[in-house]
Amino acid sequence: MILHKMRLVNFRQFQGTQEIEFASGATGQVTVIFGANGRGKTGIYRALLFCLYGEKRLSQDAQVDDSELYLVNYPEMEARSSEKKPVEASVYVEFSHDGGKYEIKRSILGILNNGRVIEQHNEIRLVKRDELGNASTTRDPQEVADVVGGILDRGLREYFLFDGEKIERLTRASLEQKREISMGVRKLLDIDTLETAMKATKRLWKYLDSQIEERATGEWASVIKLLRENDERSISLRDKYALNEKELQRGAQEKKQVDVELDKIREIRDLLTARTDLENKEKEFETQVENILREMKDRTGKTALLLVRKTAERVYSNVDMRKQKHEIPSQIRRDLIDRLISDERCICGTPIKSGTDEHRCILVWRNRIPDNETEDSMLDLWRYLATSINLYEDIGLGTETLLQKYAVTKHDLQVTHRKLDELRQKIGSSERSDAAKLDKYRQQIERKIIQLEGDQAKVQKELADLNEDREVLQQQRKEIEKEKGIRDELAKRAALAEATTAALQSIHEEFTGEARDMISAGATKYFRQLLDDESKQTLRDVVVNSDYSIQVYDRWQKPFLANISSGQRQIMSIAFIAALAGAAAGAEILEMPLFMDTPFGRLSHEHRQNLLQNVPKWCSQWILLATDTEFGRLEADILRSTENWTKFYVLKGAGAGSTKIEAVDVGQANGLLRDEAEVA
Amino acid sequence: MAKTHRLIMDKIQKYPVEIQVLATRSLELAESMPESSVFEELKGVVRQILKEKEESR
Repeated sequence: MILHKMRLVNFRQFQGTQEIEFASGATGQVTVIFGANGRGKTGIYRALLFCLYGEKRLSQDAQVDDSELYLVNYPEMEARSSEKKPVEASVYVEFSHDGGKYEIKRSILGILNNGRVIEQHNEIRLVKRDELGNASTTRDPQEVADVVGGILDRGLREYFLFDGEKIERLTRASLEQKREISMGVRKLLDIDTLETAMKATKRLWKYLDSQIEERATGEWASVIKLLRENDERSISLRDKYALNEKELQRGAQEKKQVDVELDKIREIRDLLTARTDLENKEKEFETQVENILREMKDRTGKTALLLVRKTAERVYSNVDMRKQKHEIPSQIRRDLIDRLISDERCICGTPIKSGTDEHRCILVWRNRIPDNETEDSMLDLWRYLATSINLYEDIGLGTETLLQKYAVTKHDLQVTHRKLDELRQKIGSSERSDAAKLDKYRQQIERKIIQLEGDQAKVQKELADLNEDREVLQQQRKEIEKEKGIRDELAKRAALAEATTAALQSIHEEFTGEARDMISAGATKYFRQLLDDESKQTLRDVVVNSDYSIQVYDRWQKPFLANISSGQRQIMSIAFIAALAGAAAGAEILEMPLFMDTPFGRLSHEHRQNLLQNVPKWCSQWILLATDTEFGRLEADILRSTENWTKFYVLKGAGAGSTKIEAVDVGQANGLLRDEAEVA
Repeated sequence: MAKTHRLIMDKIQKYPVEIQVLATRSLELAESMPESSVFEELKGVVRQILKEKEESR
């Protein structure tokens, strides 16, 4: 959209008929509309929004009562009040877009009735001319809204038609602002269209699958049913996860806000710092305790051996003693003695008759010797215990050390708990009852956060399990369908819908990631073009997060948005919008007007200079509304040097609250402007 | 279709022809219709794609 002309008739303080021709195309791209406060600069902006979208209100009018907000010129209504006829106010705008030329005229009737203004929308007319000059006209408000919305969506207008204050707020770290930016980005990049297409193809796939399920039988039907149930459960869990994430973000945000409030309470500031330190220590000790318990669990097997240590040592000592006495292994085996007894003859040849002394002696000897199996076992046991006995020492020492470590860490943790409790009581019972309330609220938030984090872990685990099951079921389904030769028409349609859904989902992931990277890179580039030299030392990158919030990083790659000045925020907003426009256009320059209402308010001199020099390079049309306190000769000289500034209008008071729009040659502008010393 | 969609269209080219056709059509419909309407339209589109594929064999 490129604006060419605007004609105001009895609109706001612009009595009679007044016109502005905007710089566009080959004639240059910068229009400056200049005037003191209250002369109607915002009125021009309001006129444009009224003409394009039929809106009466700007965001600054949020607190203004309807009865106080009127668009028809008051002096004109007053002059005609005796006639009891309404006054028609209208705004006519000419613009071009994508080769087509558009003319919109929107009017409103107003009448003064006993000092009260009554207004009523009158008519709307849109004429579109194509490249061949063929014209089509519509007076239907909805059709006009559709055409204009298709060119510049109502929700996006704030990004191209904006005032400095509003844009500065866009970078504030609040959830509402993040949501606003997210919606704007999604609309501008048509991500909503992609997501609608994704949802529709997925719905088609599920619909076709349900048709198959109705006709399927046996195992095939069961598998399809299980897949459907798996899918439904996954969707439900993913929704829950997303909801919990939002809650966690909200919780973190609220906790931060509470901390900011508590921090303001000076007398407890030191206590708050101490509490943060103790909370960090508490976390460390809890982790250490967990690790020790895990290690103890791993050592259970070894440690259990200590239960039999005394018995093992006693047995070893007993066996060892018998070994020392050469009782084991015995010098002569028992089976040999049995042989001698049965043979009734000793090895030396002496007869061993039953009842003789020799027989009795040999029996005693035999009974003292353990049988071969027992002897072998005793020797094996002795060998095992000989090595094990040495380990007991190490196991015992290791276990004792671990137990001591556990005791010490647990003690430290308990001490930390106690100190934290005391500290919390002190904070809670401080003479500031608001501190007590805040602290109690903070604890509630913390408990909620812990619970949510636990929930998230469970949800993730269940999703992972469901995913595994899903893969198995899909494989089963493929095998069954292959075995049964099921490739009928319905199955093919379902398969195509499924594949297309997967394709669109993959594209969505790639595209949104690339779009964010593109916007981040563009925003960083423009941001650094606008920053003053000193700020450039500290501030580095602008990044668009996955939730489409924006953050700025310092040279140490730390988030820095909360610390930048309001002027720098304004610069960042402008850089972000320019990058957004560039990403949407897929090109460096977007064919959309940047309509800025007093953007210099919070900007330092150097920032203003950078803005004046660089913005004309980014956009195809820049309409700058400026007051005499922010646009002086120096700014005019800078802008003139870009050779893009070709239109200059001055809003002059014309008595009785009215304003006259006067065109002034750009070359003569300095005569009306203040010099550097006078400009704020 | 808008330029943004052209970036998406490039990515769609990587996929087999039938998927390209169905995906492109769903995006075209989604520009101006809500999800439920797109879904209803796609029921016919998917049938048509497979019919044409069968006929071209």
